[in-house]
Amino acid sequence: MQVSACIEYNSFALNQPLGFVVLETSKMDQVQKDTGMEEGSEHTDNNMSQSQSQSATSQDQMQKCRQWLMSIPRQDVADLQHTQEYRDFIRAFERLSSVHRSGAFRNQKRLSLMALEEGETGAMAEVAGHNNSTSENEYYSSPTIEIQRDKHFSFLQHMADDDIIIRMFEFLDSQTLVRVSMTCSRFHELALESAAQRTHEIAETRQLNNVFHLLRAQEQIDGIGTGLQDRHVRVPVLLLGRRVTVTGAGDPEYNGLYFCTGSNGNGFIFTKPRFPERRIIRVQGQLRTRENIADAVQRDRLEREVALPGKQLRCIISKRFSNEVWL
Amino acid sequence: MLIRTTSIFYAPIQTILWYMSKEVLSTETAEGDTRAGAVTQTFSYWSKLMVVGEASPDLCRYPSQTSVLARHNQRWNTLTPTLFTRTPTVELLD
Repeated sequence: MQVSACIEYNSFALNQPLGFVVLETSKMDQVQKDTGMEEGSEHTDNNMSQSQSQSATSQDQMQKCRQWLMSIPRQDVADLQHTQEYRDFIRAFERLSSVHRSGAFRNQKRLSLMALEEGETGAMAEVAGHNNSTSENEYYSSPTIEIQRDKHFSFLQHMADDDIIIRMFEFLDSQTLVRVSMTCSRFHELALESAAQRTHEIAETRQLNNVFHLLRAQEQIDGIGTGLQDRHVRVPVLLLGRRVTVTGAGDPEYNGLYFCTGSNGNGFIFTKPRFPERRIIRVQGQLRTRENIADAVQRDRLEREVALPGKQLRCIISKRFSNEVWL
Repeated sequence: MLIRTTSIFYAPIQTILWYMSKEVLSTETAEGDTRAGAVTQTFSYWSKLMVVGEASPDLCRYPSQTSVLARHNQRWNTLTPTLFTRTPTVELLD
């Protein structure tokens, strides 16, 4: 199997080489051999000890990947999305997902067979003997070895830390993340967690996450408890849904699709990232203190005239008061 | 003697227009308080607002569409940075 994911990251505007990762799936091959997913694998004590050392190596590899992934600021992920390396990463990850899915399927199939043939160990050997040529049936050949193998069945189940998977998920766009979430219950939970992490800021600034706050908002709309002394919340509102397309502009940077992303005193604001994408330089080493976070949340609450540091420069369509003077 | 005075107050003309702008990073200290590295907006195109009657109230919340403006011989216009370039065509999707 030749699945590999390679990302070399040059941090574009920041000019900070942050690291390099190679997910060598020769390690995955080794793991698959450990788990019996490879054809013609022999089951000896020697192999078991080898597989244990290989498992340790794979764990080290995953730890390296984890450290590298953790070193990338979350906001910089958007910069990577148009690189060939990122596309390679996505492809490799989808293939990895496919391998995992097929492994999970085999496991499920094996368990169902074992359930059917419970207590009939002779029958198990007969089935293995009947289809000796196939790798899958070889896989069912020895229940005692299988029990040992269960400990190494899938590196995604036993060797990878959830944090690493979630960190990898941060590089996936929403459509890919949805596809990955449908592969198994574990990925489903991790994908949901990843989505919740990545939307924390927008959820905090643009939603009422508490259902009682929503109920109070509904009451305010219905005119219930609107006295001066009554508690109140912000009534959430959705922005406009239709896309705006700009074509044929003499300055081609303006051409493209705009989404309604905010509002100000004059009305709604439509934006798109500038192409080629450029980011606003962050102050190096700036600590996000509690006060800084509060300021950022407050700034995000009202649509700013310009984007925050660390975010992308944008093209903007908005209403403005010109005082009879063209801007 | 009765002097009749007539006071005519002209409300200041306040024009709100749609503008297309882009965010740019200042590379050097400009006049005023613009700091190097600060983000400012450069305005390139403008158009008049669509009003109810020209289009539905829902459409009037969106940037003026070229097809609607064209019915009244209007269009998106250029500003100084893009003065002699083509004007954009703006339409709604979905």
